[in-house]
Amino acid sequence: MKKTSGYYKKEMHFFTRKNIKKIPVTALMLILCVIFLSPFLVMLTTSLKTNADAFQLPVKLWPRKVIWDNYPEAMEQIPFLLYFRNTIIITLFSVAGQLLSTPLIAYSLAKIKWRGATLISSLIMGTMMIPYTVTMIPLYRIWNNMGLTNTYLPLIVPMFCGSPFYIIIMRQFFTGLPNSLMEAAKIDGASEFRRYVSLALPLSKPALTTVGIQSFIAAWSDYLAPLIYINKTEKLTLSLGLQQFLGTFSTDWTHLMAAATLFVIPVIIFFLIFQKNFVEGISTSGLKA
Amino acid sequence: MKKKVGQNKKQYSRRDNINGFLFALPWIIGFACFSIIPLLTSLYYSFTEFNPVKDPVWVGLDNFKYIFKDPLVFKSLKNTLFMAFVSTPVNLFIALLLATLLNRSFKGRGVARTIFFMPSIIPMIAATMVWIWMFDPTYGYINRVLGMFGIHGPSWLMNPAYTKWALVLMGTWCTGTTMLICLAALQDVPRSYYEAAEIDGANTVQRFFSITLPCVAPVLVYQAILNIINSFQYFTQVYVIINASSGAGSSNAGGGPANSILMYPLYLFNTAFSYMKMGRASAMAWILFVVVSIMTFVMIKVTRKVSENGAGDE
Amino acid sequence: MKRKLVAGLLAVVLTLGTLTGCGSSEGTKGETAPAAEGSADAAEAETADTAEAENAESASGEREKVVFWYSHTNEEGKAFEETIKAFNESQDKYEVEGLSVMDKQKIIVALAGSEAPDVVEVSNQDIIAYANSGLVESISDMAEADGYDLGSIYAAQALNSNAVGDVVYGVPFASQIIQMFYNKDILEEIGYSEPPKTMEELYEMAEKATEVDADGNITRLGYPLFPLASARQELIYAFGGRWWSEDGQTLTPDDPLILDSLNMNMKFREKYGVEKVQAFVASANTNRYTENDMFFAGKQLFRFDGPWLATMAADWGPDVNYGVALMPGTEANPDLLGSSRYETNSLGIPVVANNKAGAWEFAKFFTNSEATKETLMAIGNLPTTLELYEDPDILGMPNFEVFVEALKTENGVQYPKIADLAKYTSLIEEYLDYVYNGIKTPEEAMSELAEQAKILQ
Repeated sequence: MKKTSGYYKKEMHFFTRKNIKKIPVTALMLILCVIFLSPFLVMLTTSLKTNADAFQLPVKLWPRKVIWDNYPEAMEQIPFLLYFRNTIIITLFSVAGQLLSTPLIAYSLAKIKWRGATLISSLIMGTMMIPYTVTMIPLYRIWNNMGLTNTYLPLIVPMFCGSPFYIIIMRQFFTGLPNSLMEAAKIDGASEFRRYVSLALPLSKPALTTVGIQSFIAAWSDYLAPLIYINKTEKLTLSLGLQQFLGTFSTDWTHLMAAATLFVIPVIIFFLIFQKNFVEGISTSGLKA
Repeated sequence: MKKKVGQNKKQYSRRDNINGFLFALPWIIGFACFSIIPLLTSLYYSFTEFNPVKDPVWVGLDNFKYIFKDPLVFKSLKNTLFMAFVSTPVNLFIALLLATLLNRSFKGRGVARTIFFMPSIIPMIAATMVWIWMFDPTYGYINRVLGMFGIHGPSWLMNPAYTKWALVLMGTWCTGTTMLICLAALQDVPRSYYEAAEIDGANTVQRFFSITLPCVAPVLVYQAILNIINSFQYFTQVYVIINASSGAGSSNAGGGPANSILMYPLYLFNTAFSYMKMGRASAMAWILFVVVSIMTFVMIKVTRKVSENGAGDE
Repeated sequence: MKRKLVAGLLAVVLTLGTLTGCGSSEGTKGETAPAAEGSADAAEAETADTAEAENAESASGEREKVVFWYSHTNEEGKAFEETIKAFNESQDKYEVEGLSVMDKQKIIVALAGSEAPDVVEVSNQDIIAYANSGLVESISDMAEADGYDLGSIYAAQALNSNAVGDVVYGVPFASQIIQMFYNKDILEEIGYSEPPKTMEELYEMAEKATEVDADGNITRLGYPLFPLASARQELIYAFGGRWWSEDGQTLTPDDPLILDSLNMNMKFREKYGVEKVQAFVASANTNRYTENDMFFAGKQLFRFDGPWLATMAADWGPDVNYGVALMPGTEANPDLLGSSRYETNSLGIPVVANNKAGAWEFAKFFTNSEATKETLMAIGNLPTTLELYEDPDILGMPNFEVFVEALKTENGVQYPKIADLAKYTSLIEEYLDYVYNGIKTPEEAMSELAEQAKILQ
């Protein structure tokens, strides 16, 4: 960031001189912002309409009459709170799993000079290329044979083994930590694990936050894995529960949009709070991988 | 693990080897249990036939023979390739455009970045449902807006000529991750390059093509690879769209209008969990795996060529 | 780099050697089991389950638990719960627990797992699919062991639709057929007093009833192109067209009567614009069976739909003045009157069920007792038992007289029991979509479909 700030200053100067040049770009920017925001707006406004309003021509973005009742009604139509709780449980365990395992693995690759480090690094890249559909059927069969479908274990356990993207983010971060600190501790006779816990981990809070947020959103939104493993109505997650609005016969669009809004809000809040970590994490994993 | 890994120049200490192994153990276990074993089992399964209650019976090459004759396999492959090679460039273009726009200082830059990025963190199922609603030819906002410009919008999700374009459109909305990475790449372009070009009298467009594009090309290619691989996993959106149009539960494993959005992973999922041909589905999965591997390999070669130093691949 | 990679692969293979210790034991289990023909692992699953079931039994006292999954929700689900309650009160041996499970894929998955229900309510097509995969018990065997004469209780086509060969795998509970609903006001407005008896008449009325706005957008649809499924089936059957031969062994997409149907369909679409018609149908699909449904809103003259439409009309379209008539035939084939698909909702008993005896008792009660009538009437579904065909209460339901009349003709069209049926319907839909969107002519599409259907089993 520091390097580039000079560039911006110059650009700003450049543009204030030729203000006219800015207008088309600004206009384009505004239009794009509106376009990108519109689906959110549509979701929100539809959720506040009556069914008749939603299907009345001409189509109007704003509700003819704002109906807040859709929200409590939507929460009654599907066991929203139950699904909410289920989703939270899965999400919390997934995040915990990632936070526990990812730094361990990344530390091993970045800070311990051992025989397998390079091999594992390339294998991690390799596993990113395996389509989920290939492992889906055997994994389903294994879990099913163990009688563990309809539990959250198939969704949670793999999270305790680290995911390639997060490992890459963490490894990148650890590599950036100065070795001198570690060396000093080593001379003091601190064990590897001790150095990891008392030195590396506390320093890596920003990266840990990134991994935490990303895995939170991934677990919250996951659709395919619960679709395969969870069949019991009372164990469904929100992403599956939303589909119940697409009934056998009809789709209740206004209530669906209300439920979707409720489903999306936690993600947006989380994102807005931790936006910086999020953006940095994606930039590093994307550039350095 | 007993075998020597190459001829190592460095001598690793025994303690480091043990520590390293122990630290990496969660991943090693996960790799074995969730990658390698399923991968090989899947290979075995592809020569068998079974379903959730019947154990695998060896059928030799029957599955592959069937797959190569199955018109729906080719149809789904065609659809998937469309997403990979039409949607990917479109996404990259939009991502780069947005990143270029953001890569300058102006008021509200952070807000704009947030707005462009936010769609890609929204749970896919919620996003898809909103888009289904917006795509309705009569009550949807897309045709309403098009109508304001005098354009009569098509029945997006009904007409097989438009369904995939609807998906492409949806995809551009969720291109935030690629955009962020492009933005980071743009910011890494050394400022001195631009200064030199400016002295040479190059205009904005020239500067973009002679400096910006070559500098971010490696990142773009890498993103293209990831996008294409993701296209081969395209599932949730089409699964939801098809369920919404036919009613959940009553869906008899369709593929949208004229099977135009029957993606390969969806067909695979249907084969396994609706037609209950899990062996055949495994064979399909392995074909997919081989195709993706070959494509990845080729594209990595291309990346190597694009970026002078193949650094950072390990 | 390359050398490292090779060495790496070697290491992976070696690691695998040690790791497959657990993998191969799993593998051998998989290889030996087929010799015992599936029953072995069903038994295995059972032993695993009975332990669980026993626990539950000892905890709950003397009543045995029977888990019942049904595919209805809301009001319909409540009707099912009522019947369950009635069964629980009618005897003291079993305690049925009901659960609404909608997703078919989930049912399939569950039928294999350790948490399968004891009895499940699905469509007859699902029953056939499950039977072909060995997931459900033979009902014929259970009935015979019990001295329960299926043939004298249920209608022949109800049993046939749940049978593979001579063996019945599902107990039929409700019949599903489609007949013709029509908007009386529109019909009167365009100068008719009687609904059509032939497709030719219907077409004439359809053109008169269809209205467009200044931009050519259709505001009222005459030809019954929605719902989508009836456009694929009943519109074809009405012409006598069949996608398969009588014996269910040969696929016949090149049936000339299918072409007749498609040609009339396209004549209508081309007259009003292919894209305009599709737009209307797409929106009709988006708001189907809500208060904005095109039929309830008076924007559709004919609607080929099931008896449930009447139940829904009561809720959503109380103002629409409609009637029901038998599906039309054609001038050449007037005796086709009343042809439609015939499907049932049926009860199947999974092979892995814990309590098959209880499931069977419940299945009998659910499909053939006083409670059956109550449930059918509550959810507006048609009967499968010969006794209820004559029941005054059933015949007294709105429009049921017409539907039961159609049932008695035993003229229902059933899907062939081929293994690749789902794939065939998927292909049929694909090629119909080409036709409907004007991408291919009916002749082109159907001959290509015939070509593609050759590999199906």
